[in-house]
Amino acid sequence: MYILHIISVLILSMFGMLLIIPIIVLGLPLWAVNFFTILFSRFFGPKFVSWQDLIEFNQSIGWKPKPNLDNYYLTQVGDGVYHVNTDSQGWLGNSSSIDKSEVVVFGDSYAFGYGVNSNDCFFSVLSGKTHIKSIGAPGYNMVQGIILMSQLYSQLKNKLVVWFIYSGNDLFENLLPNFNHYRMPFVREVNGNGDWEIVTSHIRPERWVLASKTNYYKKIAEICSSTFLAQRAYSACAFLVEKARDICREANSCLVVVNIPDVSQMNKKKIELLYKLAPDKSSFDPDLPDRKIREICCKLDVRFLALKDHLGIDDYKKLDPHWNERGHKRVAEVLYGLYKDYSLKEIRA
Amino acid sequence: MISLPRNPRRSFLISFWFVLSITSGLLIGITLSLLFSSQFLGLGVLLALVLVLPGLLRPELVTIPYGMWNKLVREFARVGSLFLLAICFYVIFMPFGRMRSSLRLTRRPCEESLWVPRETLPSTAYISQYDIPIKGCPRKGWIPNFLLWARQSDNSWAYCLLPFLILLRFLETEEDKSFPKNIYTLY
Repeated sequence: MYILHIISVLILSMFGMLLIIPIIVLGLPLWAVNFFTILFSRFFGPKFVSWQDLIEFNQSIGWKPKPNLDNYYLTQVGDGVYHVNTDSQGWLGNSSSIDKSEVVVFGDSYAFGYGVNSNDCFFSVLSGKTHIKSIGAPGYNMVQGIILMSQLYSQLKNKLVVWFIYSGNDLFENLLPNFNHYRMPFVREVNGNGDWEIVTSHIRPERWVLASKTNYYKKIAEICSSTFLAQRAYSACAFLVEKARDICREANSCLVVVNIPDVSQMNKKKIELLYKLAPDKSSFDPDLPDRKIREICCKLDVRFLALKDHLGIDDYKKLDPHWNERGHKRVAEVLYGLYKDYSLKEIRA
Repeated sequence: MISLPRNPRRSFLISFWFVLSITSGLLIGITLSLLFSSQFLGLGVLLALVLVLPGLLRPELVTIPYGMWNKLVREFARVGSLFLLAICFYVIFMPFGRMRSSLRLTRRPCEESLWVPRETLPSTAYISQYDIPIKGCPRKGWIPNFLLWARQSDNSWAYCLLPFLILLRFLETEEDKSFPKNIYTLY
């Protein structure tokens, strides 16, 4: 009986194999084209390194770009390989130092120039007119910006300090102890009395175990509505902007808060999606982050600029929420305008 | 894994055109040389070199043929997978369900319960309960896991499924395998 069973197994599988021969014959050339395309693509583009080769652990801020980089990286969505270079401190662009720069920009992946070559970034395209130093890395929240400002404050004297806030995730991530598996500084409320404090005690090189995936659009929708999360996020944001103002005042520099909108907040279809995702539809407003941050800045006597007034959908990449080359050019023009205003005021003063 | 990334970067477009040009040039050359004269092989090589040029100089022009090719491949993968699954079901599962298998491949009598007791899954299985390695499996990867499962669960007949499963894996058109993991994140 057992032998009969084995024989029937073999006969049936052989019969099945015969039936799949046409798929193998037709599929083999298709697979070969795929295989050789991937194989040869290495020779037709720059060699890129993995993200681990670009950043390193940092005890105070979690992670930081490595110093003296001159490498290529592949974007998360795989839409291209881009060049990045850093100075001896690990900050973007190796041509100018913070001391030699007139404008210092703090921020996240937008400040890093993620998704374009370093030569096309906003801090490179103005090299003839003014020197911009960009301090940032992908995934940074505002708390990391504050820590860096306080660390570099002696070098910020008499400079224009521009702080990029990306309302797509920064406001929400200020409240989180982790970014994926990284540990990052965050803010927490002190005994529910409305005061906030910066927490860094958990920062270690070890992996953060629970790295839950957040729904990107759902969080933007929440931040754009009157929700408990939005209330906490704007309260934390006010605390951080106040901190930044104090640091810049002490350093005798001028702080400008620049809010970067997510491309979904400018696209009619995406706004409809955000509206659907909003937990409180009656209070949903895609311009709420701009309004709220402007209010905070007015209250604290800090200059505010909404990039939504200067950028369009065409300034963003198609596959991820970052700026394209055109977007970086536009941002560079905006920063140059801010710098001219600042220098005029300085002269008058 | 026979389809190319849906959103190709520049190097992919150039490489795709390079492979297609060289293959078609050589194929034409070899066919003509077999039919007429061996001198035509050189003509094929020349043709391949001429065809390569537009892709190298203006890779953005390759976007359309690249998209068409990918569409064709995805359609082939879809139909091929359906065909393969049908063969697996009608040629392997159905007959074996009637013969001998510890897996319940056929309907049991009505009075018998279909309740299957399950145990709590380990925390490593939270993301995907099917990707956790089987205890005692010496190597990573799904093939050793599958073979070990077939042996341990007294389903040796399932060895015959392996060629079909490998072919199904090749017909996968998942996007996220086209670039390395851990880009943008440390871990």
